[in-house]
Amino acid sequence: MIQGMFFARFLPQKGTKVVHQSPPGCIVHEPGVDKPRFFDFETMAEYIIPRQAFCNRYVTICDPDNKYRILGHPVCIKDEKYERNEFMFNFGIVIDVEADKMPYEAVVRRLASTFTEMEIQNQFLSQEHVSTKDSRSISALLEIIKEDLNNYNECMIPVDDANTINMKLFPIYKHPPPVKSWHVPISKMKFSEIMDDTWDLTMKKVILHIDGIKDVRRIAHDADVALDLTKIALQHLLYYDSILMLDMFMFGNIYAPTPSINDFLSDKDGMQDECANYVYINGPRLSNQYLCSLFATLCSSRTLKEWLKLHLDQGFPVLNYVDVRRFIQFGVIKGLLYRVHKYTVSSQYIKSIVSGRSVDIQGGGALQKYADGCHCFDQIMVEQNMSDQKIMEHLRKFPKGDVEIIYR
Amino acid sequence: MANAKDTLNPGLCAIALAIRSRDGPRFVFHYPPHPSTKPTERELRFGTELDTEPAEADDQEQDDYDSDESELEESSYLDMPALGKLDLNEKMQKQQQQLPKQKRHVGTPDGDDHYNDKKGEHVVPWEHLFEFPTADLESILTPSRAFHKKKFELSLDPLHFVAYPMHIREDGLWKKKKTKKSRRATKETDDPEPGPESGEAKSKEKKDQKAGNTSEDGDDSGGMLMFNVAFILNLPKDEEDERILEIYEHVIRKFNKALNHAQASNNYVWRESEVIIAMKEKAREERRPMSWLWTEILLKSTLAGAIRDVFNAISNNKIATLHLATTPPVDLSLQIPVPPYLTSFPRSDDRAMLGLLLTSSNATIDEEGNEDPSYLNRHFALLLLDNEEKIIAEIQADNTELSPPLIECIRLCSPTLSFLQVAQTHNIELSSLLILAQHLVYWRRAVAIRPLHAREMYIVSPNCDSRKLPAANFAWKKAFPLAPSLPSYLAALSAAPRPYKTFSPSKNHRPTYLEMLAWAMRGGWVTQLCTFAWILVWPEILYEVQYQLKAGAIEKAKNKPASGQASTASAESTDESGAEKKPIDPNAPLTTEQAAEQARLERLAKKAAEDAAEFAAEFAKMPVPVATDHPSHNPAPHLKNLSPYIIKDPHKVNHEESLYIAAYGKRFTDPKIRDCWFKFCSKYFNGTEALEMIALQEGMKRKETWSILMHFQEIILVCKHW
Repeated sequence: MIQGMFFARFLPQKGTKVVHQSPPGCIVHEPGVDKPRFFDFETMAEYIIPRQAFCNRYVTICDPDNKYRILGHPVCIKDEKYERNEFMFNFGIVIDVEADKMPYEAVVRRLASTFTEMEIQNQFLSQEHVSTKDSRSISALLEIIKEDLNNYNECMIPVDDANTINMKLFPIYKHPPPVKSWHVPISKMKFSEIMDDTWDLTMKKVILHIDGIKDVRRIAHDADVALDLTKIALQHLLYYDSILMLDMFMFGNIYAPTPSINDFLSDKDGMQDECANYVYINGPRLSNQYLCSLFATLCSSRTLKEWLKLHLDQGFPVLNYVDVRRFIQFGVIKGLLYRVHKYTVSSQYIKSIVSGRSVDIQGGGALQKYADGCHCFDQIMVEQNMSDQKIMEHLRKFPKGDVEIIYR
Repeated sequence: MANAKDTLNPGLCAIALAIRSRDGPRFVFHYPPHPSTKPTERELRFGTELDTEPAEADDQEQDDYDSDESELEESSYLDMPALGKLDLNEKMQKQQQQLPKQKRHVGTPDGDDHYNDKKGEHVVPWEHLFEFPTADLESILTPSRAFHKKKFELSLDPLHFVAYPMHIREDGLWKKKKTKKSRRATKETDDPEPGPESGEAKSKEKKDQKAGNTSEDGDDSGGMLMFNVAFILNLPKDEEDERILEIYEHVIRKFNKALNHAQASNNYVWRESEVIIAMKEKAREERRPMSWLWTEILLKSTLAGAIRDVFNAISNNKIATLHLATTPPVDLSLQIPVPPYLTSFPRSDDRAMLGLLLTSSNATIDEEGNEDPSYLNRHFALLLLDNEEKIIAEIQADNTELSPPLIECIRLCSPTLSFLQVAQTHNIELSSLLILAQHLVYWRRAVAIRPLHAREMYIVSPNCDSRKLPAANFAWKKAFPLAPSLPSYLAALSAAPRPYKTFSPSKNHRPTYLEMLAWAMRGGWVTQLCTFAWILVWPEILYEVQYQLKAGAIEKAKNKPASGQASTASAESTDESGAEKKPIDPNAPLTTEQAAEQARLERLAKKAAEDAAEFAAEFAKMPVPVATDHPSHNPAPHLKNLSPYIIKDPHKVNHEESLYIAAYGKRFTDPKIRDCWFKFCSKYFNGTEALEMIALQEGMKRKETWSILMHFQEIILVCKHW
């Protein structure tokens, strides 16, 4: 939320002055307004129109009480037509210190660039008092921009015949983790409902294949899109938080509970019913307690196959009731479970890393480079197009006792 | 963890000292001499992922796309970074990095030497910091009194200048006059009235002032009005606020306060600043190269040395130990605290903290379940994060009054013994032991863990940093030459969780194996696999309690109607309206109203009796609960519709839940086991307390605990995690 906006200028005789402000009296005293000001302008003036060396860049400063943050982009235009040969101004935005400042950076930069341009065109700012009828006054502009951005997150304001200010607040998200070819994307929204003809062609092709089962490499293959382009498309979707990345689901996988499993047992946020609605699709709906014990019996040394067998032996045919893939995905998405990945380590290979000498392990072949304990089997499977069993067979070709499998 | 520092880059790129004297602001010193304008490198890993090679490849590809795009862009303003770009933050940083380079006019010296620019002006290499002339920085970095002892946060894209400016007191002194009165008064109140003076303090102060004055040529007019040590940071956009706050709270404020103290007692900052400024002036005239000058300054000025030490330590996320040469000397340690361990599994979009120990056991959770950093669970043990001898040597070198007790604490503690056990066996006070241990934990020398034990299970931590495996394997070989290699040790642990003792080839090997475990735990390679439990109420018990409740209700109803009938028989209604009217005129004939009322009451009574009868009849039809040996397998048809129930928090149970627990309790014939059931129920079967801690906290033998727990096997739901 923008608390206030102002336009400040450096006046050759008077120094830094606030020429316009919105709401009135928020920065400097204005006759007829008896509201407390945000901060003492004189203290901050030095940072609002700083020395030339600091102009023409995005500058922010917090007030001494650490309540407000001023976002500005002081501009210095050098031209002989000005007194002192330069014209300095700043359009500032005042927000709360706690408020997210990121979306406003673009706004501040845009204000600076637009008005710089207009000043160069027709001295819009410096000749303000002799403005023509068909252009808006700066104080009105400030008011409209502030209100529109606060209420609609965007504004589109014609300033004069030639210039329009178009701005929009974009949420800035965290940079998403890189997409790996062995990840499995699953959508968080119905793409078919929001996709239209203007969407990127590659994106459209890729989206058709996001089903929570296919891994990235397979999507690229099936959609007939290059792998790197597929990754970029998915990275985009990930940035806007419209997909999630999971691991490849196989019955040979191991999943283990995290301490968050307690949230499920204590039914935080109605999680149990949510899970039940999602996984009981194979047969009659059972009580939630079964889900609890299903989660609790997963552990770091049990593959899903073994886990299913364990329950079958205890007289509970899980597959008849529960969609196991959905069950596991629910657990992983909610952070109740984590995938225990399989890694391979060759003693010879890691020794060669320490010594810096390259080795050619007998029988290593294509798998040698994966044998440093940093590459999970999923990666090897996807990149080498081998099944788990085939990889294990290949690893047996390594010298005896050289290769270890670590579950992590 | 030694590894944690790699992942938490504080983004510190320089430290600058500026002062304002009566002659105006001066830029005194900055370190490093040529700070890098490169944005801080970010950890590219997320979650627990190890592999980054494809990610780097991605970045390169994306770079290509980006550069295509930026060619199309007309302005140098990044108006809408969210549009059309893939790699926002990274890319923006790259551009920002390029921008200064493009803007930088020819004259800006990057190098070491002086030269004359085109206009023939003397360009001094140290008069620029980043692309800013220090003559401009000195004014912007000496904010007005409004910022005195306040957070000063200025960002000049892409750099952030964060500081805690210190001004001279309004009475023109750096130090409050030491009077008995003012000492008693609160810190904030300024007490100008000189009270009765404590002779010693006063004379000392006078001496200090004299000492200060002599170094200032006895002239006070050039005195300093304020100083400001600004920390210059370059951070990724999405982490700015968090990181700035961290470094401000833990480093910037403390460092400036310490300097203020030194200034107040010894005129330290001003004296040192004068020395540095004089050296700079001289070197300017003599056209000395910057590298020479900086070496000289660092040799001569302890303040410059302190700034260097802070920079070197904090920018590498280490602990800075400072020694300011004042009388008495000021010793100070600064750090941005790092978490000792991760308590939850990192999500896929969290920045990776590889190598950090992953465990849900938090020693700072007090008895009420609240996290309290000043609390340390006495049933935990101390695990040193480095070689014991090395830590002791370091502490000895520090040589503070705390050193001997700390060394004692290190010598006594062992990762296999809880603090309580250590205190008991050595007959020392537990509370002081805990305070010392806490100190070690805070200063990253140790972590508090659940005591290691051969009967417990340990697995490879999902957060271990396998990239370090080659080097760690080497160190492991050195530490345990006869043990299997680290990969095979880890492989064995990870294959199937078993009690740790089964990995040791014989009983004689156990101590060594525990040492190996401590080594692996310290490096974040392994973590303890614990058991957590909840009480599971089977239908049989649910039914039994339900039945009892109904029986109780019928019993009550039976007693009640008896008295109720008696009252209706004598036309004494329990209804208040009836009771009210009766005494007024007991012999008066019934009005129609009264008659209707009585009829209504009769109908109600009849209905109640009918209901009770129906209830009783239904109850009579209900099968009598039979307690079987295995309530989980009771096949009785009347239990089919009931599903088992889990008690969420046995510490705060409702009436029914307490009946369930009691019903289970009744079934244990052995009084000892029954006692344990009630004791363990509320404390341990809540899904957050590990069953492994029972033995320690209750002072029982591990074997005994587990044999008792076996009796509860059927009625608790257990889950294993770390």
